[in-house]
Amino acid sequence: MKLETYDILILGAGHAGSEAAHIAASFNLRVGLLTLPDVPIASAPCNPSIGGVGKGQVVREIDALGGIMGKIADLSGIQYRTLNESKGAALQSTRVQIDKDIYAKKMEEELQKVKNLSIIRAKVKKIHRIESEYLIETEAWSYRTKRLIVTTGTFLNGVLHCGSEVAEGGRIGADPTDGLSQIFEGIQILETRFKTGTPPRINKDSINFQKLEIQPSDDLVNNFHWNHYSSKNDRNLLQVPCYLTYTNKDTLSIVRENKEKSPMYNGQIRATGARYCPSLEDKAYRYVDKNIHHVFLEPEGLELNTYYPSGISTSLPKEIQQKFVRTISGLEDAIIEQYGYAVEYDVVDTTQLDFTLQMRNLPGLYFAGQVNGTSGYEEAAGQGFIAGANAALSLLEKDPLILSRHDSYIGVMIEDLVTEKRDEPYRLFSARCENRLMMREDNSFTRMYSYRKKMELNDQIDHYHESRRIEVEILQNLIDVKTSAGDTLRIGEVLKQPTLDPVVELQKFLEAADLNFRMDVVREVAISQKYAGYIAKANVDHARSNSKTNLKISAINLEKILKSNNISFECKQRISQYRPQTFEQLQKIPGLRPVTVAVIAAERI
Amino acid sequence: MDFNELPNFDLRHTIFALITPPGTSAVAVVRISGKRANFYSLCAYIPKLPDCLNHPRKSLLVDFFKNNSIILDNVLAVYFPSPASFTGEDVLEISFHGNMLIVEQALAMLSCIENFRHALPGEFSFRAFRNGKMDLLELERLSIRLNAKSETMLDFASRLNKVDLNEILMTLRINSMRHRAAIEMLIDFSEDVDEEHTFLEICSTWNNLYHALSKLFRHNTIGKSWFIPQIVLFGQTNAGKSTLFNLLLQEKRSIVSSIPGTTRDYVSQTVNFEGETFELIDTAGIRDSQDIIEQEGMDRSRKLLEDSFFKILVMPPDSKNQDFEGRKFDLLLESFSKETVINEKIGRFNKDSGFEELSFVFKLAKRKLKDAFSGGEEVYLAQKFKNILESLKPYCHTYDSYIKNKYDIAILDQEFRSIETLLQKISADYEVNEVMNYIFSNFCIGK
Ligand SMILES: Cc1cc2nc3c(=O)[nH]c(=O)nc-3n(C[C@H](O)[C@H](O)[C@H](O)COP(=O)(O)OP(=O)(O)OC[C@H]3O[C@@H](n4cnc5c(N)ncnc54)[C@H](O)[C@@H]3O)c2cc1C
Ligand SMILES: Nc1nc2c(ncn2[C@@H]2O[C@H](COP(=O)(O)OP(=O)(O)OP(=O)(O)O)[C@@H](O)[C@H]2O)c(=O)[nH]1
Ligand SMILES: [Mg+2]
Repeated sequence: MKLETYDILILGAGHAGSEAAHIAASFNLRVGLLTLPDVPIASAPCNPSIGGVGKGQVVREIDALGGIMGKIADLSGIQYRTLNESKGAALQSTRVQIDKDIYAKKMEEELQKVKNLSIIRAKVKKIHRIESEYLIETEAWSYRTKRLIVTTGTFLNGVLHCGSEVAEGGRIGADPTDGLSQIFEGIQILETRFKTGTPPRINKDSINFQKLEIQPSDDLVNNFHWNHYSSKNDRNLLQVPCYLTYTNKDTLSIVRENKEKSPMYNGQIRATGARYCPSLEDKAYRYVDKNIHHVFLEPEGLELNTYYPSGISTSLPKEIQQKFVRTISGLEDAIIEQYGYAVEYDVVDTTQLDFTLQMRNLPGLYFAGQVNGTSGYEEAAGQGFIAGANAALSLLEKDPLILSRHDSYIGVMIEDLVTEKRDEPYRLFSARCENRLMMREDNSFTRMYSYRKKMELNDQIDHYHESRRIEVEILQNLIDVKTSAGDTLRIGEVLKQPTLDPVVELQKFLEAADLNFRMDVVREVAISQKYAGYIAKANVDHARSNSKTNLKISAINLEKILKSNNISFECKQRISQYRPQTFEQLQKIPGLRPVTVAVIAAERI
Repeated sequence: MDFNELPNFDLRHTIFALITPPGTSAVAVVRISGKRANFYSLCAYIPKLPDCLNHPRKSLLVDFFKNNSIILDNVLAVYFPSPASFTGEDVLEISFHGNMLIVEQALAMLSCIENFRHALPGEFSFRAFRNGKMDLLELERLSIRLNAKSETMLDFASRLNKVDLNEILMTLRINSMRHRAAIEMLIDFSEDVDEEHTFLEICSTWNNLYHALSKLFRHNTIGKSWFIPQIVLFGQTNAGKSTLFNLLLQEKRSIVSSIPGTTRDYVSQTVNFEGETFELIDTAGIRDSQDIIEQEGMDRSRKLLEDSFFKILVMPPDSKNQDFEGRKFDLLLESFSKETVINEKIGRFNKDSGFEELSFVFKLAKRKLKDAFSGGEEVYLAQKFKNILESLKPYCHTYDSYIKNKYDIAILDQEFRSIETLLQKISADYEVNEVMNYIFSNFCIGK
């Protein structure tokens, strides 16, 4: 058999695998990406959208770390929205509807452009561990690699259900693959299998759009990728609307009448689904009094002739799907192009992984994405990035890249994954993070700065990081001192007014002063200022909780503090006057701004 | 018990201890807590143990062997499987015949088993706390019961169980968790739920919580010194405090002299009076003095007075100065007097009178104790809780106004976190997962 060797091999070119391959290759290592021939790269088997509450933050974190999900989302984006728009700047998230064909195509193009990266289309049959390396077998070739990242999504022992029809496979139309245990001995999987499902796709021409509520794209939303930021938010593709309709009593009655035909309720499926992602069956049987549920009709692509009806995921038999869909307003004549189905699959026990997503007892082997029991493209991509970067860093014998749960959604996710056993598919909620006023979309670059730097790469994005950081700092200093014309309040205080929109206020102020800053910088500084008090408090709380893990007695680096750009002149003066040795001593210095203490605690300088 | 400074109890061990008072009594109960699997080591002593383990909560009469042939005692054994046991772990309780010789042998035999050890003081409670069987409040209550030195206090502790404080705290916890759920719902699932409806949910859950808290704000506290109620003798120098102290104790405990400023530091002694235990305290007299030590002594006197349960002002005869330093007293006593007047407000005593005549002092203190604890529905909170409640007040007040003014949810979220942090100190904590469970099981979320 023919043999090839790689530094890093990634198994599965889904959202996790693509991101892992992209970052791993940027370390100048020989990287291979192995994936099934009949599945498009980074395909979206479920809803055609990227981002959302919590998830938008992940996409921007990936972007600021040098990943590609945000870029591809922009290139294929056909509708932008801001979620939580009415709820204050801190909790807003971006979501973009993507053209799923273009998404897959652009991802493939992008990966092909990457130096040192080869895409290999073949089904993996067997994996062996030989000494400290891995040997991967496909039909025709064998591959040897020092680091292996498994990102096979729902393909491990995947079983598809549509009514009583049962088939093997990770998703409709793809070749089935064997279970992890068959491909690889010695991997611990969870006892419970997980389950996810998808709704039927509706033929565009069969929808009566007149009857539906329209949801247009929002021009004000900032693009995901930093290199696409522009004042006019120029989009790459034509923007199209989504539509909203509702289920009704008839819809739910049909589902309820056919309970015994539902694989999830008649015992055919035993796996656990996510409660935050209920199928229409769940909604019908669990909330017996509720008949009206949202159905969002989302275009799957500009050229594609299908709509994705978000909210009616189902695995009922085809004829019942057809029947209930047609009770929905606007879908009376709907033609189903592809029926809904559910998939059951195996999941790795992630408590076996370390913070770099490496199997603790099998060094060199990493897992990322849905195979780890998460659901969602963004979660998969975030893990892929961490696994890819760390596989490369460990090979180069550099320090690992570990994101803290205190300053990133990715950090929250990874810590949750490796410290707790999953009992249902994991999705990021903002509720999972303790510091969400600080973990915003607008400041993702500031939050990711030191992480990106740690990887010691030298790319376009690194220059952008530096220049943006300086601009943020200048504006920050400016609002600390400047008083807006004719106003008795300092602009810094104005921005904190609970009833004012800080971004609008800061823009007005800058216009009056004839100053020009990048819009994303203005946004970040304005919002940070508005919530500064709360963020500092959260940081101090964090520092306090850290004191258990001896932050309190940890030595501080005076020199670094005195050089730091984040600390005001007065505070530096005070610090140099007292010359504290430990963090605790520093905390006791009278008149030190809490923010300063927090900054020092957070950066542990 | 300070639960911030819990000793490092090792949870992996099976622990045991005698839980009935030592001494000769009808039965002596030994509690063993740990994992069922480890109990099988006991089969060497109790061959019939598997029967017990297979019949939870049934008491079985079994033999406890000393060695292969000699029976140490015929015991009753009951098995309480986790989580429905005192500690929340698997628990085995063995009732021996109350002969201490037997029990001591049995305890010694138990400690021979690998990974079995005698429980440290408070360790059963600690495990119970860890396993969520008790919240801090229940532990406090338990400590009142364990520390209660007087009949009244014991009676009080047992009544605490009836006035179900725990219920009040559960209400707090549930309401707080529901409020948290409403906030999370508005943030994470704004697309799935109706915003207006969710905001109403935020308001109503907060109102419930605030209402429950406001009720608690009004409750009284029991100070630490009340466990053994302190009776403090206070007054100016040379008023006759030490003399009275000695008389009440019927011994010459404190130095008496005609030199003002004789007592420099306080002197205390516990006394038993008709089933109640009091701590009687003689303090340094008050006068203008430049002496640093004397000043310190006077500060201590004032501090003791403040925390004390029953306050007595001792005055020289015909003193006009009835409200000393503007303080309130339970009893004013005038020394150097011929008659003895027993009055709730004013008493006089004769230097030569015996203890009999003076015992009214204790009677009054006892009456106050009974009155204090017979407040019917009244809930008494330990000082620690009262302190937490006090610090909650301003937060709740601000938060309430923020809600009424419909502040930015990000700010509400953050402000509520401060309240939650404080609440967590008095009733058990909840985790994100529980909040999520609540949301998912009560609201239809998701697409
Ligand atoms: C039917 C369905 C419904 C879903 N519904 C939702 C939802 O409602 N909400 C939500 O958030 N998420 C949903 N998801 C999940 C979301 O699609 C995934 O979380 C995300 O795509 C996971 O990305 P990944 O990179 O981990 O895996 P995938 O994108 O699944 O990629 C796996 C890759 O592994 C490759 N592969 C597998 N086995 C082999 C092999 N033996 N040899 C070579 N290559 C192999 C495949 O070619 C594929 O490219 C759904 C997924 C499915 C399939
Ligand atoms: N005749 C008479 N003398 C008393 C009486 N009580 C106390 N004395 C005397 O008053 C003097 C002071 O009494 P102490 O009991 O030492 O007074 P004190 O209040 O403890 O004084 P300091 O410790 O200095 O604050 C002593 O000489 C006592 O003998 C009393 O009832 N009758
Ligand atoms: Mg004296």
